[in-house]
Amino acid sequence: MREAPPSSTRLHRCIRDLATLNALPTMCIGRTPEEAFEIAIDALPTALSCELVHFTRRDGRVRASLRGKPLEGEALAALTQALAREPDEAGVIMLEQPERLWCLAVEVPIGSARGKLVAGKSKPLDLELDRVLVRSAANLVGTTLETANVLEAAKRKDEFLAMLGHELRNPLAPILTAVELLGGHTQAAREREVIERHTRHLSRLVDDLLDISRLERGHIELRQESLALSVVLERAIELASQLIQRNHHELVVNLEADVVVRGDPVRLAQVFGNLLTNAAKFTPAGGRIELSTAPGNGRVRVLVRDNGRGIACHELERIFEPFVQLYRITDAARGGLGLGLAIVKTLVDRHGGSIVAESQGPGTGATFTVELPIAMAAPDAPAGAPGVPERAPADAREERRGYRVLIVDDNLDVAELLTEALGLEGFETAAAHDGQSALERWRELSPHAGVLDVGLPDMDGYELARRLRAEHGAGPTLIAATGYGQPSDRERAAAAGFDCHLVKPVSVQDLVRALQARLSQRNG
Amino acid sequence: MSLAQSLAHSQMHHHFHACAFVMGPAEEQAVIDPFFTEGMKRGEKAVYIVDPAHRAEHEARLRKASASDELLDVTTWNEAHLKGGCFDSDRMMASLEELIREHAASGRPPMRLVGQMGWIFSNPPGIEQLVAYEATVNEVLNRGKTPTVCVYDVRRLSGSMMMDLLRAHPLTVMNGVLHENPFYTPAREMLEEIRRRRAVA
Repeated sequence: MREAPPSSTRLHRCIRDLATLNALPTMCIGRTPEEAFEIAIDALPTALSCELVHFTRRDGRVRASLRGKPLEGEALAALTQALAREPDEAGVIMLEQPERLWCLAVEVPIGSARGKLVAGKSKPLDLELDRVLVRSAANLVGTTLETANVLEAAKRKDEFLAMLGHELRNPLAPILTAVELLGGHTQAAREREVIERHTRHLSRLVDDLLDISRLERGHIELRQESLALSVVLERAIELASQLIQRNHHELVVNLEADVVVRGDPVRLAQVFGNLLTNAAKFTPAGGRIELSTAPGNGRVRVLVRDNGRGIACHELERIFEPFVQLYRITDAARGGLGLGLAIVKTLVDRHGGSIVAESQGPGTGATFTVELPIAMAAPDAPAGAPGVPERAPADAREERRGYRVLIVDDNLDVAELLTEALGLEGFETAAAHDGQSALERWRELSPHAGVLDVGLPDMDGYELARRLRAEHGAGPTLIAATGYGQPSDRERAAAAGFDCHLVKPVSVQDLVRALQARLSQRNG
Repeated sequence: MSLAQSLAHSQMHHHFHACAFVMGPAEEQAVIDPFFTEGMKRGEKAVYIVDPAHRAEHEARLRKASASDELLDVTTWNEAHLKGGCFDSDRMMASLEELIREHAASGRPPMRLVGQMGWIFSNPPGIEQLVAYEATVNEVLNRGKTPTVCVYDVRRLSGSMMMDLLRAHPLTVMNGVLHENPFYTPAREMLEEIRRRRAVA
């Protein structure tokens, strides 16, 4: 005995569930409308435990098949009769009992073309119900095609944002290096400060764009460390302190007993740094910002409260959506893309926590409460960065004399500026702009260290590192400069033979620190 | 909810069997690699059944995330689903049970299992047993508390195949997000329906 026939309720539930999963639209991405139509109606009978009959009609003669086998006898006669007034030459039919048919047909828009869906019922019990059933099925097909288009556009948008982020980051690197070089060599200190401030702001915007793009595509890997929450919050305060001080805000910190949480130290500091920065942005000068913690029931709540502009009730619902900005900020160096809170929420979710925003309305301030699970472990020791002893600049430069560094980057500006910057720091420098010439220059100069861009035109930086290691052994220091900073990228760099991995835009200070660390190790 | 956070930590009503629908290898890696990486960091073994043509590259990529050689086992569908040149549901179920039992007996942390299902498109002998197998394997995986993901490329599936697979798996990963599957149909009902379909055909 067959299952009960598909009722309107079942069909509606099926459509709702398919919409929840976006299952059919996902399958239809990149397909022609005709292919998408086939997929959508092919799915329906299986979902509803019905059968599917394909038919063609030529010169009034109907041919039909069920599960690949020709339909014959009474069933075929019933189908022929049902289709007598239909003009189409081919279609599909959904039925419960192949031997008894009663049909309704609706046309289904498929882009500019039109398809046809016919539903079969064993008996004409309720004409209106049948119409609802068939129209609902037709809606599913139409909705599937529309949603597939939306999903495809969203996918393209995500890919575009990721590409845009990388493209914007590339020119930022030489600008920042040039500004750093200008530091001691210009009379125009104010102009230099303006360029630097706006460039750093632009870097932050690009970082936000890349972060949200990676988070949405699941491309951010989080470290799992046991962390003292107080250390995380200290770092967050550092991140926001410049803006808080500039606005003369009163920052009140009230940490109850310190607790340990599991997570990524950099990303958690980013979460609370963003919340504090946000509070500072939307609180008038001289206002008050509170940071407090309250552990209990295996979780810890971290509250960031301000007495600033506040949030209207209807805005609270969408405040964590990307690209949502409640207030326009006219100061170009403080404005943003409306991504900060979206990044915060995604990161908190990824740490197994939750975040809530509260406000009594405009002018009443706002409170953001982050709740995180407390870890039952002692905090891990902080990751040991290679120690670089502080030295007097003159001593350091003297020590670097004769230490040869080859810069390999296909961006001529980046290569020239880094060459000049490291030269000013006392290193002997040279540059190459592709893998092959880097190998030749290396044979010629025997440098002590190389700073290699990973995206070279003829061979990538990983391949270059492998060849340098094969030819010159483990002696030289190899530093990778890449636009990718995930743990897996670092692992890939290490596997290729790099000693160190720096994420672009690489500051001269970071580079000098890395080179100095290796130099100090060498000199014991 | 990400696959790693939820499936592996059994936060989905104690179900352990998910089908992941992906659009190509890049999306598969974005879903599966974090799932394996997180497990290996916890000392949980990763077993990956892959297309023989790409075994070496999968192994090389995941090996970097593995603290020890013992934590990663990349094998091929020729040595698993298609051992002996055909798909035999009973044989596959038995070898899966044995794998889970042996692993449990070793006293090590749980195992994570992922199978690429691209072999179904070559239409091998025994393919008609697939949906019934997917429906009944839930019990084995739940008993062994073994988080398992079957990966299907949606670009190659038909609508009816997609629906059958949805009905056979209690959990599904769509666009990188893990869902409880509203279409999930318990094995007994699913097998009854398959029997009815065969009768109609």
